[in-house]
Amino acid sequence: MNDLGPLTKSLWAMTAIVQVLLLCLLVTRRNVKSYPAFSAYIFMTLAQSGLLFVAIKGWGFSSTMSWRIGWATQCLVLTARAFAVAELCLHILGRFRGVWLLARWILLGCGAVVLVYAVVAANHQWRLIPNTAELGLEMATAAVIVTLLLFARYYDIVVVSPLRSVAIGLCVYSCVSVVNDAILERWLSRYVSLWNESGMVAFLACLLVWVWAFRRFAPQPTADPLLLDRSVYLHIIPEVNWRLRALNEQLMQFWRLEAPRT
Amino acid sequence: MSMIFIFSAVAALLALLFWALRGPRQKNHAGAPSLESIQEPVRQHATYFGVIRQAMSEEDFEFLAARGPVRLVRRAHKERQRIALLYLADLRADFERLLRLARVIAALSPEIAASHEFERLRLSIRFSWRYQMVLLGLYAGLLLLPQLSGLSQIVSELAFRMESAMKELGERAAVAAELASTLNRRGLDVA
Repeated sequence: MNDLGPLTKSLWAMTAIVQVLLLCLLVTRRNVKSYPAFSAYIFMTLAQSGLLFVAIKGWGFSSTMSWRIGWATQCLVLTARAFAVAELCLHILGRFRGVWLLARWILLGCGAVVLVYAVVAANHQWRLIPNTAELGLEMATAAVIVTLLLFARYYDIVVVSPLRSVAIGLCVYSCVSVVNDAILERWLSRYVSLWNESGMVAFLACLLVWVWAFRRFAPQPTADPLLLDRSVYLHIIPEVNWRLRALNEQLMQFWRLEAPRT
Repeated sequence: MSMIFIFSAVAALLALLFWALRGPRQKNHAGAPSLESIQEPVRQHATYFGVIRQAMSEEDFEFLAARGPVRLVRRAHKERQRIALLYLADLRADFERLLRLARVIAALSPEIAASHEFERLRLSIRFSWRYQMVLLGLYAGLLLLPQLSGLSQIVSELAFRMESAMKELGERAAVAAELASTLNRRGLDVA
């Protein structure tokens, strides 16, 4: 443990304390039932901290064994994170069946495209492959969350707390991780220590946001919105779109410079 | 991957995140699209078209230009421009309200068609862009004011066609509210 700086050690300790606090809140405030994937993700991060502590204490921070354990556990944490994001999407849009059916494919597609692009466009070095994969996954996570929130805004679906805080935390942390991983790729040797610390500070900040969000009991589940008959959509929406198209054409009539229509 | 690209992508994602989260258009604890907006009267500004047309009358303006002093003509021109801008802004408000209704219908539908949704999104973006252009043209004095009539007509017709849908939505909203209230009173878990 001696090769870790005092700042890293204290950040590590603080993070572990806040993780435990958040888990306690999730359990005691009965949020585990509503957010099982998110709770599992927080539990996994805590378990990862514990395993890394044991590994670094046993083999040292710079050992290959610690590196392997670190990245193996990171794979599990990232998987849990992906499930937490999926759960978030389901909570926000799941009650609106039509929107959800459309959004889930767009969200999946958006995540897949960003992930593939990030991995393909990365500078490949054998030691940085996990970093590259992580960068891609984090960027995909951030893109999915942003797309999800844009969907919610477009359809006037209000994202209530704690979902709002969970979304902000996951997205901001993903963005910080992307920047962190990108800098690490370029300046590996000089940046390792700062990379650890900045990642930990960002995660700690997100944990504090989540602790604040989950300090209350889980809100009473609301009734699903009463859906309309499918004929309403089929009759009204094409008509609205037609009118909007006509309105756009009318708006063009204002412009004197418009080319004459054939 | 270039650092500039990554930083730009992250900055864009963060900007979009905060834009998406900033002041929601409708506050509603249930998280559902607001059904109150459906019950609002929508034929507001478009129905003032007759008055606006009178204010924009070309004959009146020509008469004033021929008989009145230059100062008065300038003042009248400015007033007409101001009225046109206000009217255009109000028409846009009507348009936005109708668009919101379409979104509520989509959100409360068990199935939606991607083609219709993308088309509406594309049209909304195009409308916003053109609206800005028209606004710019009006400020610059490049556009013909009487052509507001076409826009008004379209909005008015759209409002009329939407009324039946709004009525049904309003009835369903009342039923949904009553159901939710009954379930809350009984303390049932409906998730």
